[in-house]
Amino acid sequence: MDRRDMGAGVFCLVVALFVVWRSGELGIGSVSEPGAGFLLFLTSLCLGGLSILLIATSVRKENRSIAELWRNVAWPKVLLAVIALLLYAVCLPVLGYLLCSFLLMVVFYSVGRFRTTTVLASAFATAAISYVIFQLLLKVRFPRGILGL
Amino acid sequence: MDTLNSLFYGFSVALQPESLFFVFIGTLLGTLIGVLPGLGPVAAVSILLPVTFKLSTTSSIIMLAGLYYGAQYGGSTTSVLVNVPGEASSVVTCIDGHKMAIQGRAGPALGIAAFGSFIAGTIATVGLVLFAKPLSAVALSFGAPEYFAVILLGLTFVTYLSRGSTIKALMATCLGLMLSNVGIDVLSGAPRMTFGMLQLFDGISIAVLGIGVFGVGEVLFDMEKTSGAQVLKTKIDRYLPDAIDWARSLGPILRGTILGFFSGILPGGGPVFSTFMSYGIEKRLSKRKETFGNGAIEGVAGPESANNASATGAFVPLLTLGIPPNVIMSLMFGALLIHGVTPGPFLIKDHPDVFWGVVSSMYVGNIMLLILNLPLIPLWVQVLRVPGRILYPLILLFCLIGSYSINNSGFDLIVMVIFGLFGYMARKFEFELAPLVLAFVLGPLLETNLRQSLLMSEGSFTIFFSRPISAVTLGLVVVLLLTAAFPVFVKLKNRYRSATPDDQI
Repeated sequence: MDRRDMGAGVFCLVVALFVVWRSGELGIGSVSEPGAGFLLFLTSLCLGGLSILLIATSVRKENRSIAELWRNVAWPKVLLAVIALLLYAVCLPVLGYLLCSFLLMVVFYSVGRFRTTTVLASAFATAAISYVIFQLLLKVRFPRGILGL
Repeated sequence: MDTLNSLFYGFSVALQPESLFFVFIGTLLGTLIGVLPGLGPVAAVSILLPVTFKLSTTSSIIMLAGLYYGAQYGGSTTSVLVNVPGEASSVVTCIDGHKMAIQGRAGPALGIAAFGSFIAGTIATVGLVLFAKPLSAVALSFGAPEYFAVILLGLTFVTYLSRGSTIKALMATCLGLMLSNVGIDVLSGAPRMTFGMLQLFDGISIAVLGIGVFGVGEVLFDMEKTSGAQVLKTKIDRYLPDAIDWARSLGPILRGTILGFFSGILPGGGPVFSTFMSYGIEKRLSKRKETFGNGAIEGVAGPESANNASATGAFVPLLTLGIPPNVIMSLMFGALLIHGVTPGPFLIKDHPDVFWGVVSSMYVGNIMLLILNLPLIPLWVQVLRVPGRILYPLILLFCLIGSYSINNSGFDLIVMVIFGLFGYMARKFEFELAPLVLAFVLGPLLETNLRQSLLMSEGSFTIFFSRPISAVTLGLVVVLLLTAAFPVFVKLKNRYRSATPDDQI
């Protein structure tokens, strides 16, 4: 059994069922007067059918486990990157662009196993140069945050 | 004559200092991005899209177009020197290009790739000029049923031509259509799938989705790899192919150009498909079949020409029909809409500066790329040596800046990260993302035309079959779906036969 396809199929089936329910609430209407949920309903039915087909075809495929996808790869880096990016999104309005970007780059360059002085200098340079290019030259309006810059 | 006058007008736009500057920036960045393995033109266009919002419409599309065909050029450098494709359409170049480099012929390989791309890009631009007006005239006769049928054909083609599982490609298409429904329904005014969040009332931004799925998703996927590619240490002393190289390459270049241009026009076609087709054709036609896979210059010349011609050909349906045939054109489509320009049959009439300016800039861009590519190869080799632990943080920061700058919204950053994670997981589970993004962009058009058609016909689906263009197009859709489904049925039937004893069949 191909557990990867099985897992993907189950996930998409759940999504399809959820969207079928929501499209019903929106109003499917009729063929002569399609409602707001008409196309959503049709596509979720298609997705549901395809998910069942994927689950069915996965049963007789060669065995592949989901856990193997994360064997012999540096998945902690990915997890750390995602957490750092989400924290960046939440903290940006509070800390401001310069400080937030500096801290983000410290995290990323630390993972890259550079020396501490290199990490701090590179993070500062990256944040500062990007600030000059995007805020000052291209006029992107970043939040100023606690530093007021 | 009228076309010639329009072309001269286009050159008057394309040769403005501002336009020249943005062609240069686009082609330079495109080549750089094409050289870097992992980050393809789709991610680059997604990430740079918000930057272009501050530019004029013409400059914006000129820069993005330069980025697109520049990336086709740049991808060949990595394929030849590192045996890792800079982007998907350079996969085939790895086969013979890298072998040529090992044999000490990296220079001629890179040279023929550059010259072939230049010739193909130039001829394809002529094709774009010749096809644009007649196709626009045909498109004027399109109504809602015809548009619905052509869009459905485009979505079907993309899934049919997907390299992986057709079922998964169709599922990605359905997911893309669902995501396109998020926001306020234009006909009824009802909020759909917004979960009460005001920020979703305008829907999901194509730029944020693109940056997340292709930019962040690709970086996350590459970050977890534990080994990096090695740049081949070889001396590159001459770039000009000799007379024998030219004699062997001319046919493949011309055939690749024609194949690439027409496959670029087809919805769902594009550079990747055309390069594989070109390689297959050249191998079949060659009198030296045994050299393919061992450093045949034809195996570089044909595919590299095809991918550049395809990149140009893809502009034909976008600019004339208003239907993007592939993912990058979807992003260009989004860029045009954001600038208040609706691509389609009226584009030539209402915005001739945009249309002819972009077309003329392609001539200029092809010349710039030839000048940039060959002398700057030593620079691109140095860029290839930049390790991922320096590059990936910079790319992620650029993604964050790009997403934030669209609406100055922290919510967009969260959406970007979510789609980045989605893109990463999709790659892990072998789902192609091109059908999802194409469906996302075409979804609103598909729905509007479907609902309008059904309103016109008072609910009767026969409207799609009573009009010749939509009937033929939908017939093609059915044929494609049946040919995709046929192998699955045969497989199921054979399984049933092998599982059932003979006397019970």
